Amino acid sequence: MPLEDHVQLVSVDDHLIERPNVWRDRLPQKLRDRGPRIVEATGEETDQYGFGQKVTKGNQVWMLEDKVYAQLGLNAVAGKPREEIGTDPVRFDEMIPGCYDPKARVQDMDLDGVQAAALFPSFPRFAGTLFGTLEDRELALLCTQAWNDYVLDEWCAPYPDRFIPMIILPHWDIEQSIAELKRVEDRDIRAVSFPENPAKLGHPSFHSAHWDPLFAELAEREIVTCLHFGTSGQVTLTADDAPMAVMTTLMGTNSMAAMADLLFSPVFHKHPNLKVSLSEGGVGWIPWLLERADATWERHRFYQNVHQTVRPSELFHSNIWGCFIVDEYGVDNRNAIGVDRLTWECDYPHSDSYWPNSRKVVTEMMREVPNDEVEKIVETNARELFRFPRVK
Amino acid sequence: MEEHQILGESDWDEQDLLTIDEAGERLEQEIAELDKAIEAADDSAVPVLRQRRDAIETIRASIAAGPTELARID
Repeated sequence: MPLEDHVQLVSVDDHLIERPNVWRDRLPQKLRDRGPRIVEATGEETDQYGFGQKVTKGNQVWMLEDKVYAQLGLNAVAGKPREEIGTDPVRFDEMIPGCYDPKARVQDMDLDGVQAAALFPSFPRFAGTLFGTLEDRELALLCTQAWNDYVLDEWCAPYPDRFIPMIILPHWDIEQSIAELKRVEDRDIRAVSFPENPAKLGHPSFHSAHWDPLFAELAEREIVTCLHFGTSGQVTLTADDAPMAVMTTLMGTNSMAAMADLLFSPVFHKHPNLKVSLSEGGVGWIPWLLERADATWERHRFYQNVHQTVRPSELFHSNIWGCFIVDEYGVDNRNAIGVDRLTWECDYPHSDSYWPNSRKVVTEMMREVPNDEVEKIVETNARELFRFPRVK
Repeated sequence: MEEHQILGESDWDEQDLLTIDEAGERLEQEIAELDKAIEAADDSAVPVLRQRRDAIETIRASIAAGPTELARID
């Protein structure tokens, strides 16, 4: 059915680009020259991201302590042949203002017919894991707090019905993570962006008891744990000479891995009220993974340290939500997944979003879906999950 | 599935942004489609289409105006 006018799109996965002065404005004076700042590349810098290539002179890059992070976005410029698209960063004057300016973002959302969005970071990586690589833990914590204050003060506060309050955590320190939740508790945080697989970042895995105090806190506060694909710092690299398209195609397997980890871990058994949102992983694979997980559990649970009486699929249906930009296979198989488990994402300002035509694309994708189910998938499931009701 | 390897510990794969050029091209295409739709539409449908076209023109102008104050680098 066409997307009805009264239905509001709620995106559970958008991103912001941090304005250049975020940390210069918000860090203590003594740390400002070491904290994140934008510099013009001289051509001699080596990018700490990606493949360690040199940064082109004149590009704007982030610098943190004495390292350069050329991560302002791929230079995918319209009109440029695809074969010439590379990984040079774009400059702020090449971005549309909606990337970094909340007022412009809201106008872009209005044009796109998107009412609300959760915003993931960019420079600190999608779960703030960059700060976890700093040896200076004081700087790491203050950079994290500065990002949280920035998104809450400059995005969420002026537009309380447009941006879902989501923060990052100093996940390398469980006590600091809990303290951070308490520090901002008066802001009614609805979500945290957390690594999809902390073990790959050198931390204890979801199978350990390490995260229990944090998960207990998140469950108690009804804060959704968002696991965005890529936040483990991992990609599936099939061969050194495989084109990037292979890796991009397989990014959703990160979400599959995160879900399998969680379903066979003690996490949901210990924290039955914990809510997990798998961000940007798509949903079409979910029925197969649940079938596979249940079959594995049926045959192999007896000799392993996995729960002996609750099927993995039962945990999925009570604790995990998926989302998609476009996933026709997932939409066609929505009843096998569970309509209540589905949410929608725009992914603005990444170029795989359909801005400014999200409503048109959703209409096309949902053409065979009953209206009440469309409303759940694109709006009300997200509003209930994130405790983000319509403003009357 | 082959083994996972750390690739610079980056989320950069998903950093492909809507640049001004990319966004401008999308908006121009939308305007062109709306112009055709307006020409073919019944009178009753034209105001809604024109409203959409005006909204797109407004955003296109704001993007063309360049970076906002928040892009300032100290």
